Amino acid sequence: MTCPEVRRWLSPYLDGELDLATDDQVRTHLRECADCQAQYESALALRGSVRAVPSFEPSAEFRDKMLNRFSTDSQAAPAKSVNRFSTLWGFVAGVAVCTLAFVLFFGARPSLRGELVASHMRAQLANHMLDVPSSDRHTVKPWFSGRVQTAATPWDLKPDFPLLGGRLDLVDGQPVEVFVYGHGAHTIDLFVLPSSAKLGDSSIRGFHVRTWVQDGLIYAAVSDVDEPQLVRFEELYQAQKP
Amino acid sequence: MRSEREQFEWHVLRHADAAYGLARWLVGNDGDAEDVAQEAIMKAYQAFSKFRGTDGKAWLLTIVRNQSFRHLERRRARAVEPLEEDLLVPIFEETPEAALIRALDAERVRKAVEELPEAYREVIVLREFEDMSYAEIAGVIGSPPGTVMSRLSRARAMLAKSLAEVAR
Repeated sequence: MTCPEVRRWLSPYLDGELDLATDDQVRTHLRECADCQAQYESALALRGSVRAVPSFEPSAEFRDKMLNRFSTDSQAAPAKSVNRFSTLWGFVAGVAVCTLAFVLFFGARPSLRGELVASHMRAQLANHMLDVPSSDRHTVKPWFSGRVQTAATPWDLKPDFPLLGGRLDLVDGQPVEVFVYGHGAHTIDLFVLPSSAKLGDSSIRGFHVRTWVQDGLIYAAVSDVDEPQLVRFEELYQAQKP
Repeated sequence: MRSEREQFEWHVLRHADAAYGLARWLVGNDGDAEDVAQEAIMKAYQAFSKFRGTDGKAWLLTIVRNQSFRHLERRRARAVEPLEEDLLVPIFEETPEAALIRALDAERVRKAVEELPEAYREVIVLREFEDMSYAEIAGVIGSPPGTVMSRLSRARAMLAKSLAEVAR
């Protein structure tokens, strides 16, 4: 593939929307061509800048109006604050996820990847994603020492995947470090597992698990972001140098 | 078995913020955006028995989009022109430094998006703020995915051009 062709495909490549063959050709070319790689990074930065624009939020009156007119709760007194709105959605979402989790994980023996997805879902539900909320790896990394055997680095991959912080989780009976990243409205949990862990890439009901081996550790990224985004996430993480 | 209202809440109403967001990007001010979003949600509620899919957000945003354009046409007394392109264009002519782009002020970037013509603005909004796939965007705007692909590519080129002056 020539440079002009690659540059025309950069936009759909960025979005992970190319067919496998073309995607592969672009990826190979970018590995070998510094100029096109620079264009790609600029395009990535442009996308990041656009995504960093804060979203427009409606007024509290709008939210109240929507709740009162359509909520199954509309017999109750009108809501006074926005918090009730987000609590309602949190509850509705929570009920659905709980049901899903029950169906998925109580019927069969839990697999390791099933455990990771369950951990990710539980953290979202309980709104307990973070034990140490910080985007600074110099704060997050040392927090884990003494608590886990692994010692990975929580690189901040902003603007596409900003580091939100870390948490300790239990997987297969062992404490593991989890680095939590944001991506638009989604989160990605990056589990750091010892090399003895056994799992592969997979999806469970819309949650993707992408794994790779790096420096003797197994990394598992769990999220509901789409697959190509997780591939980008992996690439960015692997590209980080101390 | 959930009631009709509970289903509407779960599939559609919980995307009310996204409805407002798209309306705001298209019609350009808060007050009109809330009116448009509210009208769209009402229409969605009335038409809910016809909703058969799994993607309530895309369904709602299609209604919001139509409502927004209707609103714009009323305001301007002329139709919003659709654009047809079949070309993928490169995003940049020269390669600006990624670091310079990242340093751009968010308000300046917002302004650049607001200044895009609607047909380009809406694909950027649906892609970058609502994380929709090309197939989903195609469904909302009523065009083939190939059009989404080339329109996004051109929208990014327009943004890059308008921001290049600022970045330098």
